[in-house]
Amino acid sequence: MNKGMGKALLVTIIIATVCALGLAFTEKMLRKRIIDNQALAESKSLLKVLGFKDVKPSEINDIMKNSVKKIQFGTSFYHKATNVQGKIILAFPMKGKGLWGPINGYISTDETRRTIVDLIITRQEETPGLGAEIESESFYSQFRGRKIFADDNPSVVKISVAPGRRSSGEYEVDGISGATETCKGVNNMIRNTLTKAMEYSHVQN
Amino acid sequence: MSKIKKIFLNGIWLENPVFHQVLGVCSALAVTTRVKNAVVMSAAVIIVAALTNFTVSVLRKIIPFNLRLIIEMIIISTFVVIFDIILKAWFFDMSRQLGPYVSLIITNCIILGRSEAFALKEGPGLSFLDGIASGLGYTLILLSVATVREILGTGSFWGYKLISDADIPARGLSMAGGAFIVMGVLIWVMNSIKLSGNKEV
Repeated sequence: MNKGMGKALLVTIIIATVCALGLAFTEKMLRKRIIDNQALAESKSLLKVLGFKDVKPSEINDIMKNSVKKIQFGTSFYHKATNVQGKIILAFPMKGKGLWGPINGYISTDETRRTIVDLIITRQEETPGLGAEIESESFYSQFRGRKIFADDNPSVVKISVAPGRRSSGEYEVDGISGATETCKGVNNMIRNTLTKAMEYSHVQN
Repeated sequence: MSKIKKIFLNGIWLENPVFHQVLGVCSALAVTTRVKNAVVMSAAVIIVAALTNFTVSVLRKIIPFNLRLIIEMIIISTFVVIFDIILKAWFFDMSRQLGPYVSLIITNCIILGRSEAFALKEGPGLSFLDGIASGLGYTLILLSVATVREILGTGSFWGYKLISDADIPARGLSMAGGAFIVMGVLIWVMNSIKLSGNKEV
């Protein structure tokens, strides 16, 4: 190796080290703030499906502490709260797989676990403009007030997301055209969560 | 003084990175559905371009010629990631809305292009200004496209409703395809103005 090459490498290594240290320092200084922000955003989503709309950031922790109860069932948990109209709402965390990565969210039901109250997606890495549209008010609004079970079979979850097309029938919601795999992922996630919620419906506290 | 004037004239108008050099178009198409997002994105590009140009210019005499691209990338990535972290810490909602596009500033050709074309040859002060000028050129296009798309596509400006949902004139403009149409028309108009100006001179 000639002398010029050695010097070039040395300069590169020094610059890279200085940059890496700068990054590590910034990250370390701000990590706590970022984690707090993420936790706050998560709580805000949870409160939204529980019927607490337009909550101020400063009130989130108070409401979480005083009005929301976390209830363990099996290896999982759900949240229980009484909304402004005095109705009990249950919120179940959802975990699923999309086309590109994990999808997380919350789905809330009434006390009987037979009607959907609301839904929110808190994490997704789907295609912007297509699959990513699952994280939008227009997608959420389709679920509000929908029946989960058919009247003639109250044990098998009936509601589903139409894979990449318009809904047909009373128990389907519109899928997103061009995002068939994402819709299938969301469909599985919602149905698994609701099935499990029903299986453990005897667990109250 | 005239050199500084020339830098700004070039960056914003004569050699505007987006409509003259057609650089940085990817992010310009993606973040222009809302004016607010466009402003934050523009600020990010201005800051990163200025700081990168400055740093590269300071180091230009010791940067080994055949490793310069790698070193420039290291410097750009550092500033972009720091900006991203700051956004996550203080402007969390904004950082969620911009999603991956802040990180993608690393691959924005405007910044690498300016450090290659300008900062490697000129002093730190002028390079810093050149970064700001190119960033402002990018801002000009971003804000124009975002204003048209937000008003016509979603009926609002800066998040405030101007037109009721039923009367939105061109909902399609808020979709990805709409960005290409607005951007294309804008590049056409800007270049026509520029060409007609040249004839008179």
